Amino acid sequence: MWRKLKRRKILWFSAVTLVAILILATFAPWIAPFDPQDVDPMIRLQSPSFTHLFGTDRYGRDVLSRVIYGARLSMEIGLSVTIFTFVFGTLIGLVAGYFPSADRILMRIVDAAMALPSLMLALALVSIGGAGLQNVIIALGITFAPRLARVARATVLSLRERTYVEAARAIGVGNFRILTLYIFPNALSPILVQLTLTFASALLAEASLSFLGVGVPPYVPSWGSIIANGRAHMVRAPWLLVFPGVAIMLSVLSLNMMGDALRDVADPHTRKR
Amino acid sequence: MSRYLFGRLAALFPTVLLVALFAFFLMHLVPGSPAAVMLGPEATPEDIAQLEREMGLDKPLIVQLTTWLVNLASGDFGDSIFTHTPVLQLILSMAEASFLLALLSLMIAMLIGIPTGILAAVNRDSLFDQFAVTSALLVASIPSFWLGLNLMLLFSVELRWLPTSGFESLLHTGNLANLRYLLLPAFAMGLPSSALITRLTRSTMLDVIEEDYVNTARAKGVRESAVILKHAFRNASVPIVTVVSFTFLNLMSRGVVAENVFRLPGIGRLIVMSIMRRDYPVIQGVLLVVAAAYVVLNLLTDVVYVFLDPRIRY
Repeated sequence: MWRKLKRRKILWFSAVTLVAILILATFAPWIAPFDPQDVDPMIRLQSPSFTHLFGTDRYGRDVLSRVIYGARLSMEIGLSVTIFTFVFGTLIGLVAGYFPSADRILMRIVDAAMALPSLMLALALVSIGGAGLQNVIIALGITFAPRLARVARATVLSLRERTYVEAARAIGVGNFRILTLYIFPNALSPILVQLTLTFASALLAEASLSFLGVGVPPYVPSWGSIIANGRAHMVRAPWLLVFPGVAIMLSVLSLNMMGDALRDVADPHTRKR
Repeated sequence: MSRYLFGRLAALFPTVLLVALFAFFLMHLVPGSPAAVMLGPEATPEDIAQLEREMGLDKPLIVQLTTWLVNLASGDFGDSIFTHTPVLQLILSMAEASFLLALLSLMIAMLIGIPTGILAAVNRDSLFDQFAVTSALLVASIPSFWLGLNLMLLFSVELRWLPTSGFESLLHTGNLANLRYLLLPAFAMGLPSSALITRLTRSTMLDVIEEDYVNTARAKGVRESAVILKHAFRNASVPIVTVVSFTFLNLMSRGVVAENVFRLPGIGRLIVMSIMRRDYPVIQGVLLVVAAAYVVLNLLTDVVYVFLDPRIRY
């Protein structure tokens, strides 16, 4: 009982943190105290103060405003990648899990995709498509979808043999209806757990791509690029590392905690732990 | 066993072929002429045409694909557009730093993750257990590049214990002290990776500790440390080996970032530089080599299972 309550607390904490970050991201133009692109060489590399709570960067831009706008970009990319992964990963997993003939071909493709190093693959895809939000989303979606496809497939394989599915087949329900009305709703739990972890991984991957300078254009404020730009001045101005780094950590941590709590609720085997 | 290995090797072939096909089509996903993109906007039509002829891009796609596959089979990954050196030679010359970094990171991840997981399982629901689970969640959320920069700030800039960047070959010099260049990046990568190992070790140990044979060993008077390590851990080791193998491959891929932070001359930096230069033969080569390493390592992991658990027979 104590563990159940504790888990709910974790779920609440992570939900509240995520909602706070989403509010920051959505209402960034109203919450951010300054324009994130406002350059002022007179106040470059200023330490945190009452006016600039997170200090300023090498161009005199307010770091708090850039971190807030960075939340907007990260949430946008994270959500988009998650939706992309959900659509394609679930579709492939459902088809592969339900139709054995499709399974042989699709899983070979998924195995090959998973053999490719994910971050390097995302780098290569972004370099081909060019820097930009859309290409980053597609590149990350392609790297994360195979993992979700495997989870979805494993779930469908077990659900396919359930009595209610057999009964549906026996009364002549078509495959499409069985998949959409019987199997998909029951496969949602493990998929949702995996999706929260995908969101967290997408945030980390986007931050890494921005840090490497291969992602969104450099003038767009993102947590990774704030850290990359602050690197040359990190001795004199460590706040350029601290605040965006903590922002990334908090976001990823709350998503991981949420995924954990959801898994505990969804999977009776882990409930005893 | 040898029949199983042969069967697995044969089954690997479609995966490796698909990876090779994907790497081939990667270049052709480039909008417009790959040669034009590689040479940049200043290139003349004559330069573009010459590069296309050199790379065989003026031939029909099926001919290009066949040539590419035949060359791959003979170990010819093409030449770097930028340095004109064979791609495989370039990759192998930079593989040492990446491989050592991944290995050292893995050792750190295992040294932190496995004992913590075992202790957390043995002392389930204790303060240590809660600390271990919470820390694992926290540590998994740390971006490795951010951790690397903070470690650099503390250990290299403030304390001056370790270098900020650079690398000296261990293979050529035989000097183990050169590992000091890898300590900070390895810790930056190994610590976040230890989270998954901690959690999986704890989870599998919890499953095994409740088994009857563990209680029997205790009832027979076997020392507790022997019960945990010899009986319980040995039986929990198969899933742990799986996650260790997966972690190593993940580290090889994510080494890109640590190599960039610490300026290590590894294949991660090579692929980033190649991306900046649009050196597609090198990008294709790096993806292929790392994917091949993934496939081979998966096979080796399956072989290790047999030695860990005699009940597993192929």
